[in-house]
Amino acid sequence: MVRSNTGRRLHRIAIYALFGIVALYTLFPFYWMIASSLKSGQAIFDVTFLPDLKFNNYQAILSDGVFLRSLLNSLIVAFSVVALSLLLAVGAAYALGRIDFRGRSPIMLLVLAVSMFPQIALLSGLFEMIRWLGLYNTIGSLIFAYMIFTLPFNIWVLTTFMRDLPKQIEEAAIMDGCSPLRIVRCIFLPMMGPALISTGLLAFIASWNEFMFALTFILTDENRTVPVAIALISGSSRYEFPYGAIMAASTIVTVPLIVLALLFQKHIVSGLTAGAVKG
Amino acid sequence: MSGIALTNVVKRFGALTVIDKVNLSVAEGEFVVFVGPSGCGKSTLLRMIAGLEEISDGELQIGGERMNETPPARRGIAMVFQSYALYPHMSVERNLGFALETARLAAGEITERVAKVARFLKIEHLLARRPAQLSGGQQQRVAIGRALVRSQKLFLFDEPLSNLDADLRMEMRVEIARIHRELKATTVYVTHDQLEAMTLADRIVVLKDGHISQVGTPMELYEHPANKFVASFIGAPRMNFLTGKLAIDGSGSRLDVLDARHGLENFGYEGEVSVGIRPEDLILGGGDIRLPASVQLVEPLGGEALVHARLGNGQSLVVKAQGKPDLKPNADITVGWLTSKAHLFGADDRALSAKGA
Amino acid sequence: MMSGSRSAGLRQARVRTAWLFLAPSLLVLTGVALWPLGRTFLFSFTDALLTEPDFYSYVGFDNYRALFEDPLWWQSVRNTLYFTVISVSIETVLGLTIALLLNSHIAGRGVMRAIILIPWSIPVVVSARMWQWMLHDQFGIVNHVLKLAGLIETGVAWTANSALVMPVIIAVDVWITTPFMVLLILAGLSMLPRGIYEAASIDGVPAWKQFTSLTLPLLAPSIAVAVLFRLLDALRMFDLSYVLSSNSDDTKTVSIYAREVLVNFQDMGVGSAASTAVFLMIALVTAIYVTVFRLNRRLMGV
Ligand SMILES: Nc1ncnc2c1ncn2[C@@H]1O[C@H](COP(=O)(O)OP(=O)(O)OP(=O)(O)O)[C@@H](O)[C@H]1O
Ligand SMILES: [Mg+2]
Repeated sequence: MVRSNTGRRLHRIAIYALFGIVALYTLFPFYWMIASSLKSGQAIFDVTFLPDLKFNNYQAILSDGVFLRSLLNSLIVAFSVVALSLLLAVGAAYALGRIDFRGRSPIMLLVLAVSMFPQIALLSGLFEMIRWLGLYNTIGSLIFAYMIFTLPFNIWVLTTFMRDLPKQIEEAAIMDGCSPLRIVRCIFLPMMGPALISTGLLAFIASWNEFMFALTFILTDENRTVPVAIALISGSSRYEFPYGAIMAASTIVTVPLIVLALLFQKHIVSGLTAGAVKG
Repeated sequence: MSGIALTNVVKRFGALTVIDKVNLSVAEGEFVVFVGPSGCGKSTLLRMIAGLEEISDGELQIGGERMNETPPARRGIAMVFQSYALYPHMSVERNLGFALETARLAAGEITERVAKVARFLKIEHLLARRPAQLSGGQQQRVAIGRALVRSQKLFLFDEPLSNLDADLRMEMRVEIARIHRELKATTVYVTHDQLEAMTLADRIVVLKDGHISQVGTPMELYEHPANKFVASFIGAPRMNFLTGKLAIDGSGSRLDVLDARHGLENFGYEGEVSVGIRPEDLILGGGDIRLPASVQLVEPLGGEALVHARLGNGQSLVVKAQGKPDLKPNADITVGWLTSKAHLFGADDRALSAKGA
Repeated sequence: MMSGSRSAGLRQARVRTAWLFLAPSLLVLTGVALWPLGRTFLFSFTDALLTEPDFYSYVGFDNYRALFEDPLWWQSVRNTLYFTVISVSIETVLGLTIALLLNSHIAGRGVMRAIILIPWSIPVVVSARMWQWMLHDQFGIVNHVLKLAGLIETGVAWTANSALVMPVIIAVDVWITTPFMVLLILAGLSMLPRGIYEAASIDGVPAWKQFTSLTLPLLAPSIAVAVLFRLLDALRMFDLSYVLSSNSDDTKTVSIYAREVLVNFQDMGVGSAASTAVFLMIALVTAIYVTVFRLNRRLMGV
């Protein structure tokens, strides 16, 4: 309050300088990735800060049927996981958030505990389960396996949200003759827009990025998702490592996420913090 | 066929008994108001009629049929909530039509019935709006409209006006009275506001701690309260209470209040009593029994005034006086009443009445 | 639902609805988490092979004995704990600093928030590849800049040098996950009551004192929860080490170790024993942490 004008200005300059450093630290690797992806052939090995704007790497990676196939696989997996986990979680959240029944607290505890399970601890059991379901080496195995980290989180967040919706609205709907299913579908779902967007986005990001299950449950190239595809790109020797192609593929995979992050920043953050900081 | 009969109805939440063996019948077309202090179980009783709360024991009949297990929507009931509970993401029109849509009526009929109700409530110009774009009063009209659209024979209201300011409250009170006059639907109405209770009700039910304290027309409750609780609950400003002593005196009774005494008819009761006199029945400088007092405060209300007076023993009284009495604080006055206007309550707080009168 | 029947109470009908709505989720959670967890535990006492998991016999604690006699397992445990402690500490301090910075009311902080969200939201595999390229011993930009600055003469083999690879992995992890910390701490900061700061300013409490005696204690629960989330994540770290230095024992984490035994060596028994050990380790750390910081009520939030 009592600080002088120049003091305040210095303070602001310092803050903006720090902003700049943090932004540079955060963004430079992306710049470098994109710049490298736009250099062709051997040019990638010359360190020049300006890109050439050559699209050879993109042509190469996009004419590669396998990479396109893994992009498609990733999209199918991510959208299916979002749809399925939200569908299941909304129903569970209605039960846990709005109906008082014995078993409610134990189930909430179970959901919380499951969300903390390390994936590795399930690997052999899940492997067996996926074989038994006939899903081994199909993207169905991933859609199923990804429920482990999306479903508990979605149930948790949607339950806290659902619990805070006004009780009398539900009672008005009951008086209007709605079944529980209709209450959820026609009354609550439209009122939960923000929570659905948050949880859906987080489920999308997590499924799009998952690596270990995708590496383990998929055997052949045509069924892979992009993180594994990118991790497995290699050259014939260490010196022929196709960094240009890798950077181009990485850029393609990253762009949708950057767009999502920039567009839905608020929703993502509120989803992240909904589970953690609600008190 | 929309009368209600409650027989020995009980509501328990775990070990806590909130409604204890309530018996009540509401005739078809009657307007019944539940009043009582906060937490006495008014909403719970109403919600049991609606089917939003399960009945722990006893029986509920609507139109002569047992309804305990019937789901709310099949009880032939429409309900208006205190918070209006409009669906925020739907237009007013869809809010009104939603129950009909749920019942799978034809679109044409829904539109027609919604339009009719909107005309009746004068909200036609609001149909395209969302609830958030309405004032409190308008939201209340829509909430009532949503109940009317289903053309049920039984309406339940839980403090529908308590979120409105005084002017709107009066307007909506008149509106609710008009709706009842025109539709003649059986109505159960919960309120805190005794003005609403007195003006709207055919009969008032006074609840206390999950029991019915008294049931009667507004004038019955005002003139013959069955106990001290009802006497103090009905009427504003509240009834004044003084401690007195009742004794048998020959063929009649004698009442002692402070230093004053007066003969009464035979009450057949001896001992300490509460003497209740309404502020409007107290007379400055007159009455059968008169007590000296000093003026504390005069609150002019325009046509009349409230005089706060203190008796010799330190107890305060409120007197409603006509016009604008010319009294200064600390002025010495006498306050009195006609014994015929006073209510006497025994040690168990029940009203005493004269024998053989 | 359909409680038209006389016997069913309205409440009972609602409870039935609850179970009906929960059933699909419970089924999926059982299939994807509880059952596999149980089977993993069971397999850890057998000699099952991944190729034919139906034929096995029980071998008692042999798998655990084999596991605990393998020096590589213990090295993985050490690597994991080292990685967890160092990276989470750095991320917490850095996250707190950046969060306080972003919390000042200044134009452009919305943009900053969006920017710092990006490293967290992209695949770890991509981050690993990106840094691998920047840290390339011959053509990497990092070595190039260091040479320009005259700090080194020949390129450093960042991910091949056994002394450097762990610090490099920690550094990349810090780059990836500090944003997560920042965002959670920012959320905590936004819930602090404004009034006490105004009161403190009026009372002339200096800024650093406001920080240590108001902000930090009030923020502690938010930080504790954020750190717990990061701990759980760091203890099961897999992708980063796998891509950046797949064959190096210096950065092998317990998750990589367990998967390697299970998938590459097809040894379901020892692999499951390692998985179970990881599970117990994480459960133990969580239990201790939650007890020490008394987080149970805050986590349940019910
Ligand atoms: N779900 C519940 N569980 C336990 N007790 C409850 C529940 N609902 C109500 N009660 C208790 O039942 C009693 C009656 O509540 P009710 O809501 O009917 O009072 P009310 O007369 O409507 O009060 P108000 O005028 O404040 O609305 C109160 O003591 C309340 O605490
Ligand atoms: Mg109430």
